[in-house]
Amino acid sequence: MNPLCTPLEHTFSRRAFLGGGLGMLASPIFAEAMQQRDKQVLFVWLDGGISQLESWDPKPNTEFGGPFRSIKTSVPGIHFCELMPKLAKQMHKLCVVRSMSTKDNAHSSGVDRIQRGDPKNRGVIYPHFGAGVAKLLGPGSSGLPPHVWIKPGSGGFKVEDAGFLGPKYGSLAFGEGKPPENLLRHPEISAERDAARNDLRKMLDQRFASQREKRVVEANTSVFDMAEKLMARADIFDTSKLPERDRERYGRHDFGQHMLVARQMLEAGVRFVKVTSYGWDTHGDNFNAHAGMVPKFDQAFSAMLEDLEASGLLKTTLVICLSEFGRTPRINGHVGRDHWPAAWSIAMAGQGVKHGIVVGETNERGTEVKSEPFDIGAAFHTWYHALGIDPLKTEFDNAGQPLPIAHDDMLPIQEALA
Amino acid sequence: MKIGLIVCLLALTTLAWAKEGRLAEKIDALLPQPSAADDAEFLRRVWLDFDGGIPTADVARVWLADQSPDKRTRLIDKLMGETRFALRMAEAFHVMLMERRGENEEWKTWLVECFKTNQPWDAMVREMLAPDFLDEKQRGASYFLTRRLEKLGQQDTDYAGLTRDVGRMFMGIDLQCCQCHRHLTVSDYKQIDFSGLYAVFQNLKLQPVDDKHKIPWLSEGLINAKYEFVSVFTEKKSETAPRIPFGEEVMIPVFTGDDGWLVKPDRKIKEVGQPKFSPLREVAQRIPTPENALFAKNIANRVWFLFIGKGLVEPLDLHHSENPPMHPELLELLGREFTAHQFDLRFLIREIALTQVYQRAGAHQRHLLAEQKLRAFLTATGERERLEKNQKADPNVDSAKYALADFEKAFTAALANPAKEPELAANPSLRSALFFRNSDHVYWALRPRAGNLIDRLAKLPDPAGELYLATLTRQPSDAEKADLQAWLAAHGGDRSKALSDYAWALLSSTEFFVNH
Amino acid sequence: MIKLEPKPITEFPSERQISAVRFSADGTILAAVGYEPAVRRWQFDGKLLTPLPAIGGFNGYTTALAFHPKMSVLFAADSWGLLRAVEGDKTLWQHETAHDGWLRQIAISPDGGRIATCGKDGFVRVWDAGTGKNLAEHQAGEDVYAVTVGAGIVFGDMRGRIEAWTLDLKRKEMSFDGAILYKLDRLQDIGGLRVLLFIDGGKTLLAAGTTPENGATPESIPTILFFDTASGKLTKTVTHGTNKEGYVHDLVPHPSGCLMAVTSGSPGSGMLFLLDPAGKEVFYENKKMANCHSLALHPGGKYAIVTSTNRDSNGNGKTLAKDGTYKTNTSPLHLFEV
Repeated sequence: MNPLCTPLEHTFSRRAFLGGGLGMLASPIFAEAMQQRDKQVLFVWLDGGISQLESWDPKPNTEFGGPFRSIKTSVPGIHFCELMPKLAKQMHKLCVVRSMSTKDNAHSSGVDRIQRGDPKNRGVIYPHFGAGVAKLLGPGSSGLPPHVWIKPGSGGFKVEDAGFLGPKYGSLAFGEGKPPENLLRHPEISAERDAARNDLRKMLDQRFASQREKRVVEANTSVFDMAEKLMARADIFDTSKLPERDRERYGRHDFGQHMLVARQMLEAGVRFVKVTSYGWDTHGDNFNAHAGMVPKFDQAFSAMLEDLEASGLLKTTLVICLSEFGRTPRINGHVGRDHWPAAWSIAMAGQGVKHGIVVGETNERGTEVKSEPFDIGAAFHTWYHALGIDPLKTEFDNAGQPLPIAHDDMLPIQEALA
Repeated sequence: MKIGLIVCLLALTTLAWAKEGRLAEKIDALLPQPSAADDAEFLRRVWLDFDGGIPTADVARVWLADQSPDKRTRLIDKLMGETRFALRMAEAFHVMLMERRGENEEWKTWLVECFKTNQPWDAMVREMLAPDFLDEKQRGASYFLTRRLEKLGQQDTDYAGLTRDVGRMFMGIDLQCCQCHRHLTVSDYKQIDFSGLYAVFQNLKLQPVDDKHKIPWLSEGLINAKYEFVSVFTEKKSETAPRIPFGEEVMIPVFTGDDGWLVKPDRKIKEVGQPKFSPLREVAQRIPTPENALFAKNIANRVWFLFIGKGLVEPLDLHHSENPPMHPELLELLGREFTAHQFDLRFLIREIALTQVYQRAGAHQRHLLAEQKLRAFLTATGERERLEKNQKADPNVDSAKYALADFEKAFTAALANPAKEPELAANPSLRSALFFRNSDHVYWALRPRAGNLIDRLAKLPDPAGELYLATLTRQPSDAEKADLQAWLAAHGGDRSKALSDYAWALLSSTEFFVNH
Repeated sequence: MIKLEPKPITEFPSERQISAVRFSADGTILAAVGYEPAVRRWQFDGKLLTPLPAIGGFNGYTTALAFHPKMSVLFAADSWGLLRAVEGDKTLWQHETAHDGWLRQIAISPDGGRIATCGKDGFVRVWDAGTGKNLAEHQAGEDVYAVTVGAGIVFGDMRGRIEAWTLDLKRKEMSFDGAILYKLDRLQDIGGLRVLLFIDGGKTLLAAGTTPENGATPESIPTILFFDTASGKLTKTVTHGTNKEGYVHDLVPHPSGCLMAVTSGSPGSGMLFLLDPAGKEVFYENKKMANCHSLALHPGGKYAIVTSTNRDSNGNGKTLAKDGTYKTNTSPLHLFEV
């Protein structure tokens, strides 16, 4: 076994082999492959709204600051809530924006508006960021589905995520981290038989295409090809074969294991991977809830950052972590914090963004953004920029209607861009 | 009685028109075709269009052997006389009108009855737009409105969406962008065109089933003033009475006090009230008329698309002066004759089917609905009757493992478009590919079982002809025969398996899943 | 047992939210901990609560307090782990980090010689009440939510694992299964235990809180578990109210023999209810106060103070007061004549 043959290596090996056989697999080629690597996105969604005060933007010993201490991070002068000790050690990799100020304070509109980046109603349903990335950047050299969503609950083909871009760009959802229906070969059909009949299908399609307009055959071929690529990488969502050490490091809870599946997918070259954690809508018992949940998030997210750094993927992967809003400074009678779009935080890392910095600040009570406030459209501009796409020069085409990929009266958060 | 009358009228009008030449001939004069499809290609096409599936190998063999010159016309008439035709049209119109928003038995029954009795399109549209919720025969039509006004989650009732769909479905105009301002790219579409309809639909309220109503129904509010709207661009205020796009405003009658109510609302007895003036009835009368030229053109274009695979105007819902039909004279002709024939859909469909362009060689590759694909798949594999007989699935008995409903569910999930998307083009997806590649449904149908395709093929020394006829409704070429022979020679250890795999490849191929 | 009927007398405002409130042994001082780094105090004369200077020098939230059963010494702690003994305005002793972080509860032995503390750090510790000397400690593991002291010490953690140990924390004497007070919902450990309390001279142990149903925005029914201390067996479970009512946040025995409980659940809902521990019957209920977090019974049992939360304490987005400012919620103090 070649010592370089890590899971990551598999995705390069074909190109490397084509380049000149085994001898060429020495590190320079590997480094070159790294440089050419497709840009990828990891999008971590804490559904319901993590409290900015119990995470990225602590206000210890202030009126609304809550019971927790703040702790030093790896960047002098920047503090996190004590519930994130591991991420505090990763701050030098992170770019935290503490000056988000958005509009929607209801989940139904908030989740949609934030993930679709469309703060104004344009009369069309905007694609989720993942669908936009899938459309603009495609599946990349891996040929795997470009828009994948790992989530608790049910999986399947979430076409509604694609909005006006059309079902093709919707997410392929791995419910409970498990593959969607029919992804695995039928147990009664051997691999050889399956491959042989699939080759036969290809041959029949080619013959048909030679007599007809090719468009329909091509569309059919592309989805069968993608199915084939995905089936060939069935290993990427099988956590049972992962080292126990990794499973422990990410945490034996659904979010931890889903992040581990996400890491496998990023390593396999999936363009956009979203991981959702549900249950952050702490209208009651906010502090005990965060005391339990934030450390689990801290564990998995920091393990991911470490691993992406170690494999070099962090250089080409834009990592984003956010919710639909933050939580109110005020504590309600149920010891909860309610929905709070007025002043909250998002965290980023990797491809195209600065690291080790905090952008913006909230006032001492955490009740408003003191610096320039950023609506979600600014975040979309930032993310597209970080991926090398200029939203001012790139448009979506909605059946002839040109539409901006990010909200047209906003600009990127310049301080966050590398 | 009613049917008899229609048939009489049909016969009379057909006779009258025959003197001036059939519509099909006029179309042929405008769109002459260099070559006609061969019999096999025609047979498959017409079967998919009129029956919704494909013919069995036996049926195909008999028809292909028939040498009579008028066999195509006779086949069209035979298929149009079958109940399947009404079911197939109901399916196609259901998908077109509801765009996979859901299934509803009363709605389906209404559609099927409409096509069985050949209801004119204007009557159908009137029933959809201003349904009689108390008439058992008509009330299914209300699903078009009521389904669209159901509240989903925390979303507001989508009155704008309904307004848009009425324009799209019945006049071929998508006024969505005119909700807030004049249309940016279509100068024909004005904000008043949207607002005049919106005024009517935003006045509706979805009411639950009660003692009197067996289905959800709609109440109307009192309208005694024009509807005000503001352009978000110019901030200019305007107003309109109820009005169909490009039409005249409906006069709003003046009442004083409670005089506007036919039945006064009364909370105590849960009476929501009924106004004397029903804007809904007004627009339902005004849209489906000969005077509203877009009404006939829209449906003529949609039927043309359904049978030819390409609309004369595309997108189907963007008729306007800067987007002229690719053949203006033809659309004009279709609209005119369809109107003159009292919006008779059977007439229009039959005439289109008789044209050279419908019967030509190498027609557009047309998308099949999930329902057509399922029907074709089950006919090809010879499993349809078995599944229809299986009332309930029994996982322990191979022959009873699935019921028809299981296949309907699986095929729709894998192949149908998502809700609220017009289902127009072949749209293969990763989901459908994985379904064909790996699902147990497909695997099961291709296992040998008494009387099914693989069982029959296994008994034949030279199965190529039967295989191609059963799946692709045609004879294989010599090269194709040779391919199969080579395959069987290479994989013949288990002949059933080898045949099953070959059939799988044919059934997963593009040729099987388009109408051409 | 007499069926008491507490009568609401009057209501006093507070500036901040209060999580726990207690009377001094002589009944002249009322002290409160809550959502600020200070302990609030009032003089009580049987009718009025007159504010005294607050005790500062704490961090985060003050979280726990206990008065000495005979003397006027007050023990208070905060969410950063500080534990302090004060008499008047004088600090007798103090530990900056009695626990690593959130110190959850303080209990004092009936003779006033020992105090026990528990915390989020998973430790239970016993201290000399007079000197502050740490006498014993035990690492329970998980976040320890509640503690009480009788002849021995009883503590319970987030998962509802309740254990009785000797006061020197050297020997475990009994386990009580309060697992019903815990639920894991996705990532969230929902610990429902809030109060541990001995009654019947130590023969019965009560564990009160809630039976969690869901995380994030909890909806659950106030619950009191009755354990026989000799056998460790659960003898009775009392639930009261709907799943809007949430948690029993405080549970206090009245000298007449009944139990007084206060609850807080969905914003706006709150109860004071009285219960005969011999039966299951709730014989008094007051639902006029929103989100009650604490109850202090005056020595002798003639008066009680219930802390609630102002109405309309919740709301999404930036809800502003009439003067345009963004204000904290507060905890009105309700004086009852029992």
